[in-house]
Amino acid sequence: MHPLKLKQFNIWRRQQRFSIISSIIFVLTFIALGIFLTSLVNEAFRQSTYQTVKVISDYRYLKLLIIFVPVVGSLIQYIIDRTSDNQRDISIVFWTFISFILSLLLYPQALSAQTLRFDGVLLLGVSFRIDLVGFVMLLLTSFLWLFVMMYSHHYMMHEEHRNRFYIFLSITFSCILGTILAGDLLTMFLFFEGMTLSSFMLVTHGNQRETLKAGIQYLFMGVFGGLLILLAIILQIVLTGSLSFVQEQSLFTQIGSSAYVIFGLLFLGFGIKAGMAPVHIWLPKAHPVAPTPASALLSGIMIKIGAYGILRVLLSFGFVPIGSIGNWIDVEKLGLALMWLGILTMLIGVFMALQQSHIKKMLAYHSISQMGYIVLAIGIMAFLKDKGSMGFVGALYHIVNHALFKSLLFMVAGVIYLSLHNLNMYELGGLYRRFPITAIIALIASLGIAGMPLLNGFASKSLIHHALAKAIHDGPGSLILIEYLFIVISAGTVTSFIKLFGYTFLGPIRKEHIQCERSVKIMELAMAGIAIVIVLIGLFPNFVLDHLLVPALYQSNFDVHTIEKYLTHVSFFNREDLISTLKITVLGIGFFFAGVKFNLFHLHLPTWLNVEKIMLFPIDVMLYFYFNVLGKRRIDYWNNYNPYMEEDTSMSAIKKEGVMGRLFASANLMTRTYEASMVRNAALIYLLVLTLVVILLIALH
Amino acid sequence: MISTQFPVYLVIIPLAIAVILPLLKQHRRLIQSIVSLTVGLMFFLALFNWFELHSFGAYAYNFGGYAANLGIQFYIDELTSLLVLFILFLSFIIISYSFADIPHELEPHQFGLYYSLILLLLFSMLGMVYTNDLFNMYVFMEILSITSTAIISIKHRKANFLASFRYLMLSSIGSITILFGLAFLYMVTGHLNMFEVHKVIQSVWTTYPMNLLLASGFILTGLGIKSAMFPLHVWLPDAHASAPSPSSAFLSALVVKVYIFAMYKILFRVLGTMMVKGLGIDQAILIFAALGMVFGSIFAIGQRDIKRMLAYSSVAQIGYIFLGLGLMSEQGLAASLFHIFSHGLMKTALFLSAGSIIFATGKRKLSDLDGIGYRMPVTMIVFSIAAFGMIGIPGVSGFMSKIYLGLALIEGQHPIYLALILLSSFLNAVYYLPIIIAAFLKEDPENRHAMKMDPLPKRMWIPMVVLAICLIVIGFYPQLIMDIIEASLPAYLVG
Repeated sequence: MHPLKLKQFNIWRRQQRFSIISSIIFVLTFIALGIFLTSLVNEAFRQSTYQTVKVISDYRYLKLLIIFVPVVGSLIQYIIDRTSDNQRDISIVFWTFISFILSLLLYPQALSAQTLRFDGVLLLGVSFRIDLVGFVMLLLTSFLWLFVMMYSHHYMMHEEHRNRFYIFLSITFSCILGTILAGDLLTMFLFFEGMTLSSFMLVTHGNQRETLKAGIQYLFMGVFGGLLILLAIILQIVLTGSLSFVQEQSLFTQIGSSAYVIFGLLFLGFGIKAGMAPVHIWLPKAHPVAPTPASALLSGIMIKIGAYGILRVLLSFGFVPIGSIGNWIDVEKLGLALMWLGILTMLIGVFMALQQSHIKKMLAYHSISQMGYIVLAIGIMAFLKDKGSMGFVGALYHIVNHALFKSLLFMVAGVIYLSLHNLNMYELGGLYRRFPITAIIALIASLGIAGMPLLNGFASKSLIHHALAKAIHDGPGSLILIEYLFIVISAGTVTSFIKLFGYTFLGPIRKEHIQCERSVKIMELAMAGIAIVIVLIGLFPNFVLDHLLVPALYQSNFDVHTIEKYLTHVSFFNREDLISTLKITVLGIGFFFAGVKFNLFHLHLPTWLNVEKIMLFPIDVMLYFYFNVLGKRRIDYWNNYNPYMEEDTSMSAIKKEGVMGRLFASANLMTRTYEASMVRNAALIYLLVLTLVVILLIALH
Repeated sequence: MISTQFPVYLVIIPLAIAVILPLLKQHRRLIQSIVSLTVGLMFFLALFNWFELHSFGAYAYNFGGYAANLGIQFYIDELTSLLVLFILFLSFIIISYSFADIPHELEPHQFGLYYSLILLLLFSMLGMVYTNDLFNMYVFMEILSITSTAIISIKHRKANFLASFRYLMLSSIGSITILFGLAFLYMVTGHLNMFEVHKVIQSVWTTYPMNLLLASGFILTGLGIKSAMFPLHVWLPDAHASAPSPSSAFLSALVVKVYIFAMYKILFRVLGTMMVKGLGIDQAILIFAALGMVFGSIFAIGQRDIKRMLAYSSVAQIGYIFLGLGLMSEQGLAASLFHIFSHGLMKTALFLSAGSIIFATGKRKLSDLDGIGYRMPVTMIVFSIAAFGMIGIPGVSGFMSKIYLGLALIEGQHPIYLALILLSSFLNAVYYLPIIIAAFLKEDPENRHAMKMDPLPKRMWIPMVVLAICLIVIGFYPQLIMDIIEASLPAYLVG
């Protein structure tokens, strides 16, 4: 054979190897999932199944093993062979599959909610615990991660530094698993910080200026959130002496209003990661610039970890533990605050999403809005206290569902980007001709997120809606406003996805797109895997509810009567819900046509409405003032090194830069001024301090 | 007890060897082996002494057998011994690094001189830690300042001369101030031995508050200059930035800490907790510490030179140490001591990795460091770990210092300072993270992302890796150090 052809053949053959192994793992995954789901239904079958793998599933350190499998696997692969992309991706998929299987094997431990403690590590001891809530998150994470890894092989071939990307992806995966499996706040914080740092490398993978800027904002908000959580941890240790998620009696009843400070800090800290308004500002910048597999995972999993954190601390510290007769602290107030924050998040997310033309940006804003649903549901849970089981289930269910369809949508965007290098939806069209399977998958995901019956979004949204109805019934009258907003926002989501699907896949195809590359089979296979689950959940919404989510309720202090009344035999496809969905759909379609007619999708909001600007306004004004007063004559030398700024040092450029850049420049300026004048007068400073100290001492005396 | 005399040996051995070294002139290998043997030997002596102290307890060593109120006295307790151990351990690491770096920075004939200065530095530091006599402490302090000045100015450059001159001037002012303070103390008590002074002060401090106030004000300010307490830190950035990198590590990680340790002695052993609280000295310290934490970080943000930035960061970190000290509680003191250890390790790691970058590429401007992580991965990983410690990422020892400090602050009813610590941590992130980001994510114009091993001799990267491992181990198991500190504190406080 001709050498060039031989080379091509070899490449082809290697690529096929990845596809074949991935397909095998794909089949194995579904078989394993099938066995697991069967075992959920059939008690006897479960006993016998887990009896056969008893050695592993009863292994004490299995939780630790799951956390370290991804990172160790990827490091082993890196040490053995760092040149072959195929080999590495096969091993990544393989190790992810292993962690998926291990997660399934953890189910018996989740049922008994065991804790594994390592005393002495990090002073207070580190502990790992799995219960059913954690198990649902774990299953979701490892399942989704597996399919995104299958998908990313081909996609990442178009990016540089693949080894680095995969190593940091593995570290992020490990950290996420660690956050889920944490048994106390400190352990959770440990892995949470690790996740912030390692996922920063994923966001900034593109190495472009814009990417870096988005990444830096993400990083600093993450670090800030981390510090808030740290503050809460220190307060909590001193005031209550315990950080563990398992408590004998309610922790916060003795410490009065400090409890709300701690909760506020924790909500804000985790809320930053969860994309909760008004601290969501990093999200629409960071998610679109990351490579598609990363943005799928960031949107699908990582922001959920923030919500999981809020849910976890509320359940552990806000709720009275089962079997203890402690008093409830006023979680209603916290719940009410969370509800309003949630609805604000939803509103901002949907409104901004409607204005976007870039597909990934639009999806990022929808992530915010869907996180709003989750926060709202968590808020309802806290508001109704022990009767809030519906809010809890709605939040968890929506976490699962949103993870599935949002990562799928990002993956669809990635397929389009890979062949067309254009994600402006107004410049696309008719793509169903070139990407029929992708189009079907996109349709499934869009209908899912829009909450159409027979797809998964419907189930969780109706649950949240029911919970909201109950909260309105029990709560103050102003909550009715949330109800109206809820409907309008749901309709906005429908509009948004009509827009996305219509402009991208329907209509006439553009001339230059007729000959574009078709999508790759293995990517479509990976997407199909997630789409299948979406449809399955949509068709049998009760299955997940009855066998995974409702059992989780019994591990926390929820009122049994409420669970039995509202959740055990809920019929999703009832008349009221269907009619309300119909109303929402009609309203959404109406919005769409109104938007097209009156050109409402291209509103340019005034800059002062920017949330970032509003929040940082005081700091910004202060820094700007500092600049103008002190800095005008020193333009030449205060900007020698400023990583947060453009090269251009003129005054106009500085006006545009964010707070970070201005902070840096002000610090530069301050230092220069200080070093130029003050340091010369060291003796003066000395005298000043000496007199000050003496006066201070005498005065205090 | 076999090791009774060891503290004296520990002080005398470096002094003796320091005299010999300049005679050896160009024999680099010989000098290297002598110095490492000396420090190694000292380390083992100190270790042995430390072990024996556990079973025999603290003891006073009177020179020449004179009574305590007449002669010089060393007081050796577990905490002192631990600090000596730490000084020697860190010195050993820095010295083994410096064997590769110093020939690069200095002229060949200065090699022996440099190490005799280092040994003198060790001599005076150990003396200051051990001594229980106020005037003796002052003497050691003077030796330490002059040696530090020499170590800064050993590079024949204008910047070094300027910096060392400023340091010399300021620290002389500081010394004189301390001497004034000691004179006031002597005036009131008539003793120079710390225990004796303490005994007298206990009974008379209400009678002579003004004298004692002036004394403590003077001593506090003098030691504040030497240990770079915030507004008196003006000498520090220039001095630490212009000295050769191993010297910077010495100065930042150890010398400054020894002065702080002297301050502990003055506050806890001489004046006593009750008087310090009664006169409100702790409030003054807290205020200066908080100022230092915030402003040190802000000034660090404004730097262009990597070593200057690290020096300003030291100013901020010293603020943390003083904060723990200012609480005047056992918990605060423990936290402060823990931070002495953890900051010593972190700052050494940072200075050594900065030194490696200068060694390999000659770059020291922050804006030139783009893509350096691909040329020198080990160095930058060590740098990142230590920087994460400064920011307070869990898993590195700096995080635990923050936890300890935070706990002590909340216990001491000072939550506002906790918020300041977190602000300072955020500011640390503002200046440390861009370096890491630039190192690993930006493109080096000369070198297009071919990851390769650092162009460093083994002698340089092994000490850095050891430091990074220490940081992580202590980060996960802070009790390794904290238990010892907490166990030895009661003995120290009773004195």
